Amino acid sequence: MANNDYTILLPTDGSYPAIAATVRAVELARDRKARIYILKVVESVAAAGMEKIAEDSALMRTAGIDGVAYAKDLAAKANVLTEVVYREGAVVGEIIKAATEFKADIIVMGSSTIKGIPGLYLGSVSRGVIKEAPCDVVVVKLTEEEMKKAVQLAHDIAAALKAPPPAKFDISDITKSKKFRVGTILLAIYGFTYAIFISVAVYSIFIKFHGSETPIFSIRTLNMNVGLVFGFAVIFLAIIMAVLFNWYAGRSEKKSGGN
Amino acid sequence: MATYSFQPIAFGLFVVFVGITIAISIYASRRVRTAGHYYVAGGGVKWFVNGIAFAGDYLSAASFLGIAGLIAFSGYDGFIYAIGFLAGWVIALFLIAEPLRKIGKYTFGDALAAKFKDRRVRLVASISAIVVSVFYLIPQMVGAGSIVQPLLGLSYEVGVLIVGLIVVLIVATAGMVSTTWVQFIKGFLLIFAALALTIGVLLMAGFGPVQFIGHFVQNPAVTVPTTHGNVTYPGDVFMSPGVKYKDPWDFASLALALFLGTAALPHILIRYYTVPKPSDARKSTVVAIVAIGAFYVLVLFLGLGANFFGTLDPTNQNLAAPLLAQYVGGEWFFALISSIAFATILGTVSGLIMAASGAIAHDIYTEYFGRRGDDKKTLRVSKITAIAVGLVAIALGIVMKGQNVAFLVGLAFAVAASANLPALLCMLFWKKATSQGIIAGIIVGLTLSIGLIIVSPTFMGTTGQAWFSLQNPGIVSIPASFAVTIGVSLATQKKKNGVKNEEASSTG
Repeated sequence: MANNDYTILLPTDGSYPAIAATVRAVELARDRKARIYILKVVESVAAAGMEKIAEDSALMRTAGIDGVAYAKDLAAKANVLTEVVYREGAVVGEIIKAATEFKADIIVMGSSTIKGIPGLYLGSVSRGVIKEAPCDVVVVKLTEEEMKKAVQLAHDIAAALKAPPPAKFDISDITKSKKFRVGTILLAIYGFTYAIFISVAVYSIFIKFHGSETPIFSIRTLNMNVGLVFGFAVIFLAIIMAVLFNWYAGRSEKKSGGN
Repeated sequence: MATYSFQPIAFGLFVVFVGITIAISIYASRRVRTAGHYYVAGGGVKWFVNGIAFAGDYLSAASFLGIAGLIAFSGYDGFIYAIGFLAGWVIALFLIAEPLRKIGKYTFGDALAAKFKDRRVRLVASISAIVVSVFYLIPQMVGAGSIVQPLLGLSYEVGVLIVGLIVVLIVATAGMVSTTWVQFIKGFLLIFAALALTIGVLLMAGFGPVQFIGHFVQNPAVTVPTTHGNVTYPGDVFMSPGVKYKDPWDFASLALALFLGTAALPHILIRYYTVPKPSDARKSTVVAIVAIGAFYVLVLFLGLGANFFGTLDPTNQNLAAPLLAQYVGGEWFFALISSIAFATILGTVSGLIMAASGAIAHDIYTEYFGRRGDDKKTLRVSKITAIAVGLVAIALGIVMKGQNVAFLVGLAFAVAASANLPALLCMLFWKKATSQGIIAGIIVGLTLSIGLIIVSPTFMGTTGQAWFSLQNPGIVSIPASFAVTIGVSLATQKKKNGVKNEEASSTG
């Protein structure tokens, strides 16, 4: 992971500004092949004073979604490595601590805004971080259009998390694939072998109690008897078929580029 | 060898095992925040871990203790159980694994509901899952009680209670996450234990593997102790079918149930939803087949080894493997093998309780009755259900004291194959299947297989008195269930035409 030297710290609380910051951070990480530490600070009781709560609700700071899930999702789509960090304490202090701890090269964060309109008000948290940070700090301001897109995406994710789309019954890509046909043939071969094995065993029991000749399974062969050799063959056939099939299916998946 | 005392080393190791297990559960519980985590570990289990967990889920007390004992006492007839138990996995691999992962979310009921858009299918399927799981739970609990007794010097009832409570703790704290890890660890330990024991047996006997089996075949008199004194068989007879199974049809019925039952067991099916992709479902099945197949080859040596060294207790066949360990490796090895046997039961019982509580909480409560609350509430309901199922299992385990473990498992396979397999296969691969056909098939399979068990010699006394002469109902109830599913589906075609077209258009 030598190319992950560049480290971005992304504090998020699921608010609109944080979502804006997430969009920027992921773009930046993709361009610089950086790793993102997603930081979610749960405020300790002392810090969450009445004033803070009032401010949050007045500024409509919550987008009503899980900021961490959103960031992970967005990063995964851009093939960016992430790590999630949960901290408890005062927000500014924890952001600074995390930046120091992970040797962050840059902190990307949002600033308090009134819903959807960036740039009106620089929040107390971002001010605090800028003052104390051990590294560069980017306070994100998206254009109105960018913000709309991000918010739409956030709502889509929130909706997806709340009500998963109705499951569609469609397995035709599997059942029509060549590997599935190969599997069916292998199953038929195995089922046939097992059926013969059981039939001979059944016949062998029948002879033992009703016949006079030697039961087939007791005939000696290879230092053992027919029953044991046949039994081992049925076990090993299952193992060999499974491994070969897996090799074949894996190869055909690579060829078709999907699964 | 008939009396057993408290074994301090075994007890100590047992406590360590349980301690580790519970620690894992509590650690894992921090990651369980949603119902998805709880039921299927968020669908994020790696395929290799899932494969070994499959083995840990599947190789129950009946496999480790039961089959080893059966081979030690009945020779080849025990080995046939091993072959049949593995054979069913081939169906799971080639037909079920990938398609099932593609559809559905938590349970087999989801898949059915997705295809038929009929709530009743889900209800019937979930009831069937609960019944099969409980059927499978009984022998596990009976097994738990009957090995705790001799190994720890505790009474049967206390044994059932201990295992039940530990499992409820594992399942209720972290659901599928902790269950997966417990099964993964146990799967590894079990294969390791069987390998170590086999090597010990061969070294002490001074034979190569083939030579060792050859020794039994050529032995003029293989001795088997019974409660009425020793019985001897010529090696040729002991090492071919017919020592235990006298009725060829009964044997055929068992063989069919084992082959078709595996892929229809709810606690196996639920594990297909724990991996991210269909290809992972396939890979983990392959890992499971290799691990389980290797185990069943080794178990032959354990059974024969127990017979070879005479470490047999005719009053408790299930102890053949632990007693062999004592003979081969002394007290410590005995303690280790016994603790692994406990872990084995914990892993399987956890999986079964997950399957049953998933069916109740997800299929019936959330989906059928439409109580779709927030995740916290769903999670709470699931946990309460798991505790309730666990308590029912404890009660049944105590009531069913004295039943034969491997035999009960064979019955559970027959019920699973009859009730679930026709529904599963017709749902996946038959375009003309209708919800009425599936419902009728499940109901007939379930009631017929259980009904035949009730009127079989097992419950009605000797063969002459019983209405149904076979012990295992599979050979009658499985084809009947297929016939009903297909017949009713064909009879209800016209009504379903609209839905069929809709389906055809949604494909592609």
